[in-house]
Amino acid sequence: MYPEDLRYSSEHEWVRVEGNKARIGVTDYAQGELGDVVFVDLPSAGDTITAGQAFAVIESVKSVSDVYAPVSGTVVAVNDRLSDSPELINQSPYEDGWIVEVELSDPSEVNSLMTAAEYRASVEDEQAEG
Amino acid sequence: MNQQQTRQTPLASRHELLGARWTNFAGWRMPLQYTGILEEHRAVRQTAGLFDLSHMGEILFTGESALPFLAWSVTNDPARLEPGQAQYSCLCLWDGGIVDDLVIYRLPRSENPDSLPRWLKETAGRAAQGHHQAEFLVVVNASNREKDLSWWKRLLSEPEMAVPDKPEELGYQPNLTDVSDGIALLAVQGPRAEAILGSVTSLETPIAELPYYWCDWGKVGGVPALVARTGYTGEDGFELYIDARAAEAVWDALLAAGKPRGMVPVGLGARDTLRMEMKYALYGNDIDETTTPLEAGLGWVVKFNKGPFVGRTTLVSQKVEGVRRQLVALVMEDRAIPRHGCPIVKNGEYVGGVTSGGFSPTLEKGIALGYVPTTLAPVGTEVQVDIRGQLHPARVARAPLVPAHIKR
Repeated sequence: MYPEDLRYSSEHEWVRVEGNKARIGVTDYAQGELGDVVFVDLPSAGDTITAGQAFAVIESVKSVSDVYAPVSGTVVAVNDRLSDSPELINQSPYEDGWIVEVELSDPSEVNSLMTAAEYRASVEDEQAEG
Repeated sequence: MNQQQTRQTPLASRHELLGARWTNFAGWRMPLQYTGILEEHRAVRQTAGLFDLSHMGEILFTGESALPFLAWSVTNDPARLEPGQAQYSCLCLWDGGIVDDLVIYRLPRSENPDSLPRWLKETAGRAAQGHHQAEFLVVVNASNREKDLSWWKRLLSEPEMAVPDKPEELGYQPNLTDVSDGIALLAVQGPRAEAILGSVTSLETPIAELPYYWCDWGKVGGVPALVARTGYTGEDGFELYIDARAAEAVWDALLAAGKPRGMVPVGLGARDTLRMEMKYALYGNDIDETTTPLEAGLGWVVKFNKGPFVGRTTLVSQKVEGVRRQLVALVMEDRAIPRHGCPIVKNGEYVGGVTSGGFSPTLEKGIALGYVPTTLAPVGTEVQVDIRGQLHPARVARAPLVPAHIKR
């Protein structure tokens, strides 16, 4: 599953840009690798996130994973539904399982993210190696 | 991962077809999960699950001296076992440290010695005919198979003068045969296990009358098997010891019978969450050569009155002086999930560590097993668990953490 309207990071996050804002989550490939998500440690509205740095933590039954910011900005909204329903990340990684919405501090950062086709190719490479 | 060094069970292609996600466990490529750990765990508690546990080790102890040697080497007392009866035990070092935890099955007698599995007939000769001698199938952890065999061989070769406790041989050495490679071990666990297994199985004892921790010979899907009412989940269930070459046929027969009744294949991920809810120890995490059975809450499998056994001297001292630390079960009070290695803290001081940690699908909370000083072991004691630098509250809980449904 690689929605065309999104951009992707090498750490398996996706970005949906809407004007100066961006919604961020983890990809279908990521949620499959993680397994059942049981807890999400979210930032707060007003926090700054920096591209390449961890801004959230996803706990699955078997593991703990950092979520890395694909772009920089200020958090304007977090997905509170993930507190009671962390499984939304597994069930709907690109829609109901979104993690944060940020106001972009440098919209040009989006251009260095992968397109759906590029991301798909990189995932297929990763799967071939594994 | 070095493919050449990783082993696979006879059911690897079945797991592949079912879409399993894989993990490496003790050098074996095993299914971690199929549909998801939470779903598989819940299925075992509510309906049934089917497990491939063929990576485990099985050693046959046969010959006239099998019983005295085995009884001297382990903490429990296999002399108490009737044919067909089983017991859980520790195998200890001289200092009481645990070499392995294992299950000892005294082989049942059979009305049909021609219909026994090949893993018995080919290797144990006399064992297949009349079971007047006490002979045993000892099931060990996959990670310890070679280590346990070496330890037993070392004990056998210790001269009696060096070890005054060693039982006098009657001139015979016991036979220890590693039959692991010829055996596939499948488990069916859950409230519907008896109905599902019963529908494809004929045992010499009717399955409904097979008590917990007893076993018998029979056929599963027409395939000869040793069927035991044992398991690692806390639910009613069975473990089946069959010839490796028949594994796929039995797996298919069980799935066909079980699927309409809600049985699903279950991987090692859910096996771990299920046993943790029961506070069953996992070797390498909760018990190892630096822990004694008394510290681990396994004093019930140490039979001090049976006579000399390896480790008895140290364990007696420990029992007399009292253990300084104990394995407890913890339930987290907030949403954090403890993991192996997380420090346990009390009043700002480090007091112990988490040996097994994770998420309980039944309680929907983080749970852990870990060692704390004996003073902090009483149920209800509050402690904190350091998870990635933050302290989270937890409480010592009574075990099992969720109700067990083993058939009493």
